[in-house]
Formats: sequence, structure tokens, C-alpha cells
Amino acid sequence: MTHSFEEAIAACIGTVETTKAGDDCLQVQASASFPESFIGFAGHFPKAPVLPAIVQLATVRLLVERAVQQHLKDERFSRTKFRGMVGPAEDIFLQLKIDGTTDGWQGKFKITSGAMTPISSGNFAFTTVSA
Amino acid sequence: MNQHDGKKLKLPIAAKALLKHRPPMLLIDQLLDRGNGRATASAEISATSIFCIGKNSVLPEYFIEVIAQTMAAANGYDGLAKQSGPKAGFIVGIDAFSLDAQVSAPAELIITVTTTMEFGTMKVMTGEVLLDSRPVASAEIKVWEQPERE
Repeated sequence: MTHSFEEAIAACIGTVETTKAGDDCLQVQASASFPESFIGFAGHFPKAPVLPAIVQLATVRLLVERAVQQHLKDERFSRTKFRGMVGPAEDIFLQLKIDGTTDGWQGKFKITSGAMTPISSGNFAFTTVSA
Repeated sequence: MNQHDGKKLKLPIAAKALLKHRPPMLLIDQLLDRGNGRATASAEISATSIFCIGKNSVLPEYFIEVIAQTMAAANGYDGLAKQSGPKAGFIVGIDAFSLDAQVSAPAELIITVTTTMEFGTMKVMTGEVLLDSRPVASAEIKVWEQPERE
């Protein structure tokens, strides 16, 4: 069975803990690990697999969607920095702070390794898809 | 004037000849143009692509990757012109990524990138993705290019 890229990413997300931190403010802590068989490692790069940066961003988006329980569009990322590389089967930890806006959600994310080494961080904003 | 110092190569060139990426992570098809610090590439996404969700909507992050791969293909072109091979490049920063329209596959996209700063192995560029000549996504991306091993 062929999985979409998004389904493959979602399958690699482990524990997710969402807490309410005020009106329209959520905090999310999650873990993820991408096995060697993860489709994003195939061809990125042959014999030297590195998790594509876009997988980290897609994981952030999926976690926001799960936390706010809404589909999102009009994605924006800013001040995003990638400081470390992630290889197959490495545990990564994600922290998100999500604030509601008039038409969607915005916030910050931070991804670290098991040794708390920074991997990436940045700001995001999404518009909510109208029902 | 081209960005590189080597010979001018005939375009278009298949992306596979310029990038280390391979399917399914090779997302652009061809480098169409290269010169004056700019590069243009094409990418075709089918409705059966793994980068589609729901009713053939293209994943937002796909657009970041095609911009980065266009820049990498331009670097690959420069390397080929100087008779060295393609190098691995990694995104180290993204600023002002904006996806302003939902794109449905199948779609034929044109990607343009312009280098705005270059410092050693680091490059900063702005990129835009066009669908039917209409901008659908843009970003400023910083890329670190892996130096060649001696």
C-alpha cells in the first residue's frame, strides 16, 4: 500500500501532549522518530540519508492541526533555522507554542535531539480552512 | 553573464544530472535557465504523487523543497560548467515562506530563484513558484553547500 508523504510522517510521530496555557493558547510537546525505511530518506541522499528539512516543517504543521483540531492552509514560516541534521531512527523532540489569531493560528516551534541539542526552530502561521 | 566562471552548457538539463537527490525526493524535472544570478526550473506534479493529500492538494512543504532544489540545480550547473560534480546542499534557514494558494495536482510549475547573498559555502536566495504564470508560493532560503572532499 502506498502512503502519502503526509501519512508517512504522521506514522512517525510518537507521544503527543497538548496543554492549554490560557485563552486560545496551547502548548504541545511531542516526540518523533523516522526509521530508515521512511520514504523521506529515500533519495535524500543515496547512501547518506538525512531527514529533509521540509519533513520537520510538515511535522510541525501536523502537530498544530492535531492540537487545534482544524485543517490549516496558507502556511507561513519565518525565522526558521536548521542547526543539526537528523538521521534514520534518531529520536527528536518537538515543542510548540500556539496562539489563536483572528483567522487562524500562529506560534513558535523548537526541535531538539535526545541530548537536547538544537535541531531547528522558527515561527509559523496558518489560516484556518473554512468549513 | 553567468554566475559561474566555466563554460556555458546547453539548457535545459535534467535535474538528475545536477542534483544528488533521487526519486521520490527529486522534485524538479529540469533546469531551464541559468544566468545573472538567477535560475529557472520546471517541476511537474502528478495527481498520484506522494506529495498530494485529500483531493489532490499539493503539500505546502513541497513548494519549499522545489525552491531549494532549483537553487541546488543552479549550483550543480555551475559545478558542471567548472567540471566538478553535483554537491549536497542543505537548507539551514527559511524566512518569509508564504503559500498563498492551494495548488491541485496535476500541475506544471515554474520555479525561479535569485541569489541575493553568497558567503563561502552559504547562499541566500529568494525563490518563487509559478502556476500558469501566477505566483503561488515564495520564500527566502539559506542553503549550506557541502564542500568537496579533498
